Amino acid sequence: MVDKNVKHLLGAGLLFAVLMGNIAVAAPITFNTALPVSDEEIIIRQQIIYSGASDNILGVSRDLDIWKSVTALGYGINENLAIFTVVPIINRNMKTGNLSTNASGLADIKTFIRYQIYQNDGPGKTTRMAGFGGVNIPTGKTGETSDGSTDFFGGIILTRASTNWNFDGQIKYTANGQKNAFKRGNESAFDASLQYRVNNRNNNVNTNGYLFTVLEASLVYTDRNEIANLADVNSGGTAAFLTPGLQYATKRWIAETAIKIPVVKQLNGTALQPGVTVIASMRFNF
Amino acid sequence: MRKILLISAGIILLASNALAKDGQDQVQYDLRVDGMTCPFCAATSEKALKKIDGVSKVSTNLETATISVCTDGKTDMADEKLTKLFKKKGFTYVSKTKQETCSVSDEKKK
Repeated sequence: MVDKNVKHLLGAGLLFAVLMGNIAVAAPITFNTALPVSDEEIIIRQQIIYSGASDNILGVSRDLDIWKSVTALGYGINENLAIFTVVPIINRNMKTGNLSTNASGLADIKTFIRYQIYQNDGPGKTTRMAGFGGVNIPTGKTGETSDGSTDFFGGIILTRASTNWNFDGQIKYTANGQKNAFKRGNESAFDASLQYRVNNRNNNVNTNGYLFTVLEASLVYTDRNEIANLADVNSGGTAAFLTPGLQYATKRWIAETAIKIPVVKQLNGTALQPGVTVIASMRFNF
Repeated sequence: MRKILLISAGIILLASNALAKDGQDQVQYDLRVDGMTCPFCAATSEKALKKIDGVSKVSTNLETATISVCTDGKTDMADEKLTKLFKKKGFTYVSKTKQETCSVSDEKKK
């Protein structure tokens, strides 16, 4: 167990070091719905995400390692409407006692549109609100990298920003579909992200990037899964996370890193409680 | 030695003259644009402005919400055009002032 934790820490440290080597990353790190994209422009965000979780139930250890490559692509159709596609490739290792299972490959592709319904600009500041809605397409392998169902989600995102700080908050609801006899529980999520610029003495955007410290919070409530219309008592529940991070923003790219730490772990029954997640990310604007 | 000094001085004088003419041939518009808060916003706005024929240099100051644009003096920089351009990019054009010389140092990228 100690070895495993050391490996997790080394993995996190390595990602952090790699990112800091390029100089670090501003918009929320843990959600893509607030990504800024203008009319006829493209934004690409590439994230590497590591999650680890482990516990011991009745003397049987469980260790879960997940590596994800998540590519988010956004295009501004006009000044108010943007379309996004998120492509995840995952590698999941689950060890239960002496039994190990591995699944890797393309997971479910997510696509959504965002429509801005409110905008109020001032000198060096803005307030915007948008609605979004989309679908999780079951492109992954059922039972391995996907549960095989088509899921729908929607919500509202609010952004308030100035040259020194940004706030993004979103409410999101996901209605999960059913595949064969399995239906994952529906999910309600509340996310908030505060980014504060720390190198605000030099304001020349042409020669200096903007360094932000980031603190994000997330509350997720998930219904119980259903198997053959019967609720799985070892699923669903409530989890909350705090995510400190850094963002370094230039005119053409942004680098970012964050560590998502579970602060409330109240999943039902014997469901594996969430562990720490490390995120390293780059964004490019074309 | 004297030849080298004379040639060097001549080159410096020619270059200075060319630079001075470069600024004199151009006019500068300082555009007040609201809603820009980040380096990405500056890049998006500058990219759109650089697509206008006659625009040579663009530079953004996020703190004063100002984009300085150098043009050849014949470029159409009407308020209606700028309002439409910045609305498409997600920002709000407010006003502009004009100067008879260009002091922007950022070169237009080809």
